[in-house]
This record gives sequence, structure tokens and C-alpha cells, in this order.
Amino acid sequence: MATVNSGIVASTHAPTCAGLVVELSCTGTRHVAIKCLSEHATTMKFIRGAISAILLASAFAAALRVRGTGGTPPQHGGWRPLELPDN
Amino acid sequence: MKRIALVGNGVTGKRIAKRLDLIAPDCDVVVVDPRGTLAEAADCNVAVVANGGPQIGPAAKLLAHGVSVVCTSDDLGDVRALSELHEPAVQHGASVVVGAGMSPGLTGLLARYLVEQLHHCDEIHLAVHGTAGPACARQHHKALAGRAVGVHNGLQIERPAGSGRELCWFPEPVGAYDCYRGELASPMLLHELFPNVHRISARVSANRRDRFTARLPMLSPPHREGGVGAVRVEVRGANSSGERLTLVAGVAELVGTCAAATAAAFTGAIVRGDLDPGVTVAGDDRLNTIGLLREVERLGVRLQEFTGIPHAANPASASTQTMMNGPRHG
Repeated sequence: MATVNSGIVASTHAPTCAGLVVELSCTGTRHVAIKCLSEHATTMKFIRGAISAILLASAFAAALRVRGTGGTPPQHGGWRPLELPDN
Repeated sequence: MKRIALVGNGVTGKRIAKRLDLIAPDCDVVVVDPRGTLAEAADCNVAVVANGGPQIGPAAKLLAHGVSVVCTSDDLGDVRALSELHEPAVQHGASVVVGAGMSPGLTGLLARYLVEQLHHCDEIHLAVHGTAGPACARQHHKALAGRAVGVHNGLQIERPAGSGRELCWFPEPVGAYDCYRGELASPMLLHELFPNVHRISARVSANRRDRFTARLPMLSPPHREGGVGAVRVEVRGANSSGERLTLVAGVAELVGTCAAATAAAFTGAIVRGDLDPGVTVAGDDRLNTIGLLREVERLGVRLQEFTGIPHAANPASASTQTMMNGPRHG
């Protein structure tokens, strides 16, 4: 266990979270993250949100693909040879 | 043996010569210089005038000898002068076909064919893309600088050429081109043929350089022949039940080939004696329009129609494009 000048103690047997600084509680048994925790939570929240958005969009697209009534593109139309009637 | 005089030996004239063998296999074709006296054409049965300049001079000379004339001119003043040859033509018992090229000519035939499918026709709109030989290119250049004739609310009007841009879709491989009003003869002729049609317009494709330099001399000599040209005829009206209909037909082909096929088809009609003495315009209701269009097709021009989106309510009329609230023409 290493002691920092500021009074915050970095735990060497803390959970393997790189750069995580912990404070030794008064009971000496509890480790509490005091730094980087808010950034870590924000990143995870963003990733979860992105994954949720992708899943939601995929589900919506799949529903449109399966249930949509857009039909197939026109199979006729455009220019075609003129069929002149008989005289 | 029929003798047919060919006045003018440019891009269109050469193609006409090739097609005359198909129209009248045993005919004798006499190529005549339009700058001469045309004396060698005096004993011909028919003369096809396909020279680049004004055609009123050669046509009047030939008519004086009693020779029927097929004119391919598309110059407004020239066509107007040719239309006034009716009396001399009747006196000599000869026929004069005015506007036997691509436009006027094939456009008139297509317009008549489409209008006949409608119960009531309100509007006819033409668009032309491309040129044949150098003389045709000069005429195209001139057309963008003059006064465009049109019909609006049944009255003949004039608008500045080069105005009225509209994106027109031609048959493939030409596709879409911006087209502008031009000093073209077709609206004037169509107005005589379809006096009840409220709106008639004719446009010609052009790019920015064409429009910018239209009132200047041609800055560079024209090509020997333009590329694939196209024509598009759109008629609007109603069927017998009052449903609004828009019918579109067109052609994508070398302009010289279109003009030659049309001129040769009219020449064949004169050789067979199908035309009355006097002036005849392509699209005239006295003509066998279907027969002439068939002849044009036989001579190498593929006619096409725009079918648009199929009409679900009436699959039988899938060949008829129904467009509501279509673009405005004028």
C-alpha cells in the first residue's frame, strides 16, 4: 500500500482498474473510487446509449423491411417502342 | 420509270438518296445543285429539296415546271413562304409537302397520331435535341436568337428565343436536356392543323454556351454531323369520359436519318399518288398518318412512346401516361 502526500492512499490490492485512485476508509477494509469514476460512468453511458440506438434503428428497419408496403419498384413504364395500330 | 430529283447533297440529302431506292426501287434519282437553274429536274416526277439554305427558290422553280416538291426546311420564314405556294401548286397540279424533316415533319405526324387518341386536345408541346449537318447546326444557332412562335390561349404569340427553360426527357440514350423556346416553324404549322388547341410550344435543347453566343456569329465551325438527336411530342387533353390524359411519343436517332426517313416517306406518298395537289403539311388529317409512320419506321427510325407509371385502375391503358398537375408549358 502506497501513501500519497495528499492523504489519499492508493491501494495496491484494489480491483485492477488502471489509474484508479482509492481512499482507505476509516475501517481500513473499504475502497472507494474518488477519481475517474464520473468519467468512466459517462463513457459507459454513452456506449450503452449508442448500442441502444443502433439496436432500435435495426429493429425499426427490420420491421419496415418485413412489414412495409412500399412494394417493388415499377416494373413497367419509361420509353418503349410505339405499337402502331393496323390501318 | 419514275424520276426523282434530289436538290442538295448534304448529310440529309445523302441519306434520302439511300432511302429512295427502298421507296421506289426502280426510280431514277437525279442529284441537282440548288445553286443552278434546276433545268435537269424539270422532267422529274418529284423533287426532294434538302439543301441547307432557303428552299423557297428551288421549290418555286420546280413547281413552275409542274414538279411536285418535298421540302425539308425548318426555317420559320422559309416555311411560311413555302406554305403560300398552295395556289401555284394547285394550278400546276403538283403537290408541295412543307416540313418533311424531323421538325417540322416527323413531329407533325406524331402529334396527329397522339391527338387522334384523345377525345379533346388542349396542348401540344414539342422538344427537339441535336442537329444533322452544318447547315442544320447553323439553323439551330439562329433559332436560339430569334423570336419563338407559340400558341397561348388559342392566340399565336411570340416570345424571346432562348427563354422558357424546361427539362425535357427524351428517349434513351439521349435522356434529359434543358430545352428553350426557339424560332421554330412547327408551332405555326400545328396551329393551322389543330386550331382548337389552346397551347402549342416548341423547344430546342441548348447549353449555356449556345444561349450565350446565340446572338453572335458561330464562334467555331459546326461539326460535320451532330450526334444522336431526339424529338419528343407531348399532347394533353381528355378522353371521352373527361379524364385528363397526357400522351408522349418520341424518337432518339441521328437527326439526318429522321429527316431523311420522313422526306422519303412523303416522297413515296407522292409517287403513289396519295397526295392531292396543293400544299400539304405533316400532320394533315387528309394524310394516312399511320401509313407514313410505318414507312418512317421501315426506313430505320424507331418510334417510341413514354408509358410512365402504369395505371392500376385501368391496366389496358398502360400505354397512356396519366399525369395530374403536370409541369406548365407556355
